Amino acid sequence: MDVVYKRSGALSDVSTTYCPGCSHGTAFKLIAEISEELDIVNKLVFATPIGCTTFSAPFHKFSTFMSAHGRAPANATGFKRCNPKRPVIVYQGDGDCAAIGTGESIHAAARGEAFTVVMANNQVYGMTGGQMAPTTLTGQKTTTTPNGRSVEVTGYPIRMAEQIAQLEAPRFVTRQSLHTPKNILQAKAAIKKALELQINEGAYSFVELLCACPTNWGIDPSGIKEYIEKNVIPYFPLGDLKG
Amino acid sequence: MAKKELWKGNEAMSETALRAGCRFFSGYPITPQTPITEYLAWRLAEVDGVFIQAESELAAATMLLGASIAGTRALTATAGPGLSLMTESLSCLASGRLPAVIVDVQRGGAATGNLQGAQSDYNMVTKTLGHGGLKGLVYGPSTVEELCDIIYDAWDKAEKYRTPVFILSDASLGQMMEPVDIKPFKQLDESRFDLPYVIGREQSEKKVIQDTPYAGPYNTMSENLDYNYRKYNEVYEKWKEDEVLYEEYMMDDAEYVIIGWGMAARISKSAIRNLRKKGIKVGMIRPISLFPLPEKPLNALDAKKIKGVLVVEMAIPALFYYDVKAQIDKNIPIKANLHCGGYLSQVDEIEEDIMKMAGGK
Amino acid sequence: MEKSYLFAGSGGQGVQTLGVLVAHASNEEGHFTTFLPAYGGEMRGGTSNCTIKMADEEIGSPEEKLYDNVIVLNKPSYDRFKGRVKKGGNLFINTALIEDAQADGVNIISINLSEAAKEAGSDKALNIVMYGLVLAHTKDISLENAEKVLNDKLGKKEQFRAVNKKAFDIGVNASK
Repeated sequence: MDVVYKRSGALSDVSTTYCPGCSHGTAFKLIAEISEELDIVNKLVFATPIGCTTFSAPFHKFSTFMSAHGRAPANATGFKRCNPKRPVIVYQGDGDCAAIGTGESIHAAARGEAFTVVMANNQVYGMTGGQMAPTTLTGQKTTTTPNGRSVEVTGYPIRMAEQIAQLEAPRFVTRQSLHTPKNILQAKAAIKKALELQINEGAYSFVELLCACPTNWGIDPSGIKEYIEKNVIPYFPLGDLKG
Repeated sequence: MAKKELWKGNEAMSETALRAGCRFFSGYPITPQTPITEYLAWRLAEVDGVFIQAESELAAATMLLGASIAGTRALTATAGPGLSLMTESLSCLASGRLPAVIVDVQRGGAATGNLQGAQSDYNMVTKTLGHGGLKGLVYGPSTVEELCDIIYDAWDKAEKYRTPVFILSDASLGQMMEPVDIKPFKQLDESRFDLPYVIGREQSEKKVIQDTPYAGPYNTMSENLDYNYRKYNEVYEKWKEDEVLYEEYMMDDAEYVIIGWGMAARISKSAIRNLRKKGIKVGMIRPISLFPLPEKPLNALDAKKIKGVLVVEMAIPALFYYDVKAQIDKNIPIKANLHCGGYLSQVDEIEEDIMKMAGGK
Repeated sequence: MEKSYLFAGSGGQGVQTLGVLVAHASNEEGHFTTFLPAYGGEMRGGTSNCTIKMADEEIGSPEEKLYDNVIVLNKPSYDRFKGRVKKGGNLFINTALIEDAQADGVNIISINLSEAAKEAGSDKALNIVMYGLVLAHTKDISLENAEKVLNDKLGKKEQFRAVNKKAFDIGVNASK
């Protein structure tokens, strides 16, 4: 009998603790599959942020280090410069990458540090219970924008991939989504390309993933596809921005 | 012995750090720390080390964690407002028990302050490294040579105890030239890449390096943190036995005792010599380790013999003074001689304070 | 033995170089030595200054209220530091920029550094003239060590070596 699909051996034999409909598990699955395909399960180092992925280490088999909120790109800079043979994925949420860690994000990208940043953009602070993020959409209700995000008061959501793409050093900058099987496959190809550029050419790359947080969006997980297509993609268009 | 060479404190310290095995520096320019950053920018390149001019002190100190996790001896240096920005990472280093060395070339004043020497960061690093109440070894050298001696062994101690080591220099010590012996290069063992907090060179079994020690024998985070930090505290307590450093100066027959550290202490030595010429029996206890504070020699001061203690410190309000006062016999009169904001301690004022204690003029 | 020196002048007069040279010469002589520059904001004001101490035991304070020797190369430095000489100490002044110097209970040693430097062959050599004068006068350091340090630190280029040697000798001779 042919095996057409199996759980990646780079994932631990445990279930994630994420909410129904959350995209983090999907993103981990892709990274796990890619690590097997590239034969780097024992080499890949996973740099975690503060957010819902802080406690992700039990879910996979990669060596992992934690960082303070927003600092993962700086921490990874120190690590990778001293340990250039280990491929590194810096996995960050939008609050981590584009708010408290904007400085670290931009400057690591500007220096062209040899790691891959995967930014999960779900437009809310998930771990702390659904506050406004730098990516929260105009009009979106969060616990800190109870009447909907108002541009007069809070300005506009930040398109981080576009910010990174303006810099010289990054080799590959893209925005992908995890809301349909087709998009998931495209996202996987993008992360794989980013990692290959890192391993083969020492390049920095940035993959923004549109992720779902139905718990904090206040919707049923069955409505994710429609929500992302109707609300999120119009503001955060998909596709490669550089490379 | 070869003649000592005259070096500026910042540069002598940087060269000695390199010879102690430091191969990573990340820093952000800030007076009076900048000469360290400038020196290591070219010097680390000569030994295939890593130098990064970071985008902020926040990032500079964070990069130490990554370098430490890679098994590299890592250093940063800062001053004044830069230290405030670094406290987040100090907390992470202490909590993750990651070895690294941090130098604060103290400058005057709070906020922007000024660029002259001071000792007002004492509480900020001896009481707790950032939030969370954890500790690191803290040293307060008073000469360029001592600054070099301390940094030469700093990573050995950092790795032995898995702790950040903090050195409180200051603007005057950093800029001052004094004769020093520049020490030989240390050879580091490859086994360092197998250390428990290090993610190795090529590949490794899964290692999880947490800046908060959630792992432990219990089921809840709070039980494990309680358990782990209790163990950390046992290490800190052990330092009080094993890592105390201090100098006693002219203490044999002393009736008056000056207690100070760093620049304030060395300035006080001039006052002590002058007072001795006037027949006043004055000596000094000079803590070199500031955490752990040398409690025993302070506790041992005998009220029957010692007529007064003067704490000389370059901080207003006083900081170190209260730590000393807590260790001194209540029957011994104690006073403070304070300056701050880049105003160095003054020899004549110290003499005057001791003369007043001695009841003469 | 413990001797203190304060050097002051304007930024372009090479006063820090002068101080560093004296400090190296002191170290060469085998003295305990400290050199403390005025730095940062102070450097950008009217005067640049530094202090040196040399002693036969470990040095405590690297600065003093009053100095054995105060060396001032311009008028603002003179105004600021003329009162910082110990009684019986030496005040070295550059008469090219400081006229009518007066100080009670203090030895005033005068030299026109502009003329002397010109004679040595370079306007920039004025600090080296003063280096020779100060060390020949105070005798805290042998002239042999003073000259060795001058060559070690500033003698890499032949043309500078000749000018510096001449400037140094002019300073030394002016002390006689």
